[in-house]
Amino acid sequence: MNFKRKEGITLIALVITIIVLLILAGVSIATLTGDNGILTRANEAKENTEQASEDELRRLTALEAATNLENQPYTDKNGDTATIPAGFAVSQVEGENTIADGLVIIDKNGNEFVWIPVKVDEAFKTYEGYSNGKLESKLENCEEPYSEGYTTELSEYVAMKNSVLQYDGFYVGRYEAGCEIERNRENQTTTQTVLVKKGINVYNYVPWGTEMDDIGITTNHEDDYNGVTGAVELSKQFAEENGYTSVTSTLIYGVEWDAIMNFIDSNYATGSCEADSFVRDSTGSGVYTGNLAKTGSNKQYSIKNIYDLAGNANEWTMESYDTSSRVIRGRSLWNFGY
Amino acid sequence: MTPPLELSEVGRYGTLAIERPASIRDYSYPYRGTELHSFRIALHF
Repeated sequence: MNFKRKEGITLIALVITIIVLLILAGVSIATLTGDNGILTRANEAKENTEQASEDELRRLTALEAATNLENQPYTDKNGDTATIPAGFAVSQVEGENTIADGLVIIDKNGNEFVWIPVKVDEAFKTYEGYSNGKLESKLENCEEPYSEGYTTELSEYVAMKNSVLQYDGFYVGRYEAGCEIERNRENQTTTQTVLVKKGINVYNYVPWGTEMDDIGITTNHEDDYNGVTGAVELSKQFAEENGYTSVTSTLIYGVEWDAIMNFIDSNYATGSCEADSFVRDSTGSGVYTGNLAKTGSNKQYSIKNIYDLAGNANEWTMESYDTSSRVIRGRSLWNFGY
Repeated sequence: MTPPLELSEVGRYGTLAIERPASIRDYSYPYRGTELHSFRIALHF
């Protein structure tokens, strides 16, 4: 008889092969993806490398800043101009050296500020903000400078306004005020050094001052608020602490907050911001839940290179709301504000 | 005027489903300084 041998793979062998291939594919996918996957780690390594490179550029800029002893005129690649204060230098990080994108300057201690151009003098005034998609009607209650404020409040406002109009702009802290330690109710009575840097704790538990007309250390209120230096005084001290010779520092004014909003969205001045404008609805562009984030926590929360203008902590301004309260802007972790 | 809330207090009140604009004005007593009170510095020539 002629038995012809049939060659090929059996069904069992085929199934086993497929199973083995599936197992290998599963292992490969697990290795590539997931929190500890190769792709995730490669992405983290890339981000860490970029961050380290940026940090190095900022350190170099800080060294350069220490050698700049006079104000310097600056013209960016678009032909836009600004003045760089003595003791500062322009960031060398890509995307931080044009006025349109948000010109970042750094001092010798690493504090970072962004130039806010004010091109039209007449536009430098306070505007109604948005609430729930509509323009508010709060300005009628507000006043700046507050006529019954502290002794030098009016003269400081006039000096600020004259400077802004003469130099066509001002600088604003790139981050919310910060400090090295985490402030809480137990240790907030100590005055910490104020820093304007990325990745540090927000300088919180800070009052505006003692009263509407007193920016001294709080002394006569609830125990929790006693013995604390307020935001106005801390802001004024900042320039001297950092050895600035050509600029003064103040708590941000309401008119300056609105100038920033105008810089971000030119429709703000006419009250015609689109529904998805950062100025009108910043949902998704700030920390609105969870815990207080560190300064500059997420690139998504920056606009014009300025971080956390929306969400995270409330930010005091010089504007008065009525005869017993001052305006806070930017809203906080929670929708209520306050 | 409603005083500022502490984070620990917020849970009691929940959150409101409203938009969150960067331009909105809120207000607080000048001596009030909670976990959510901070500030931002400006520089002038």
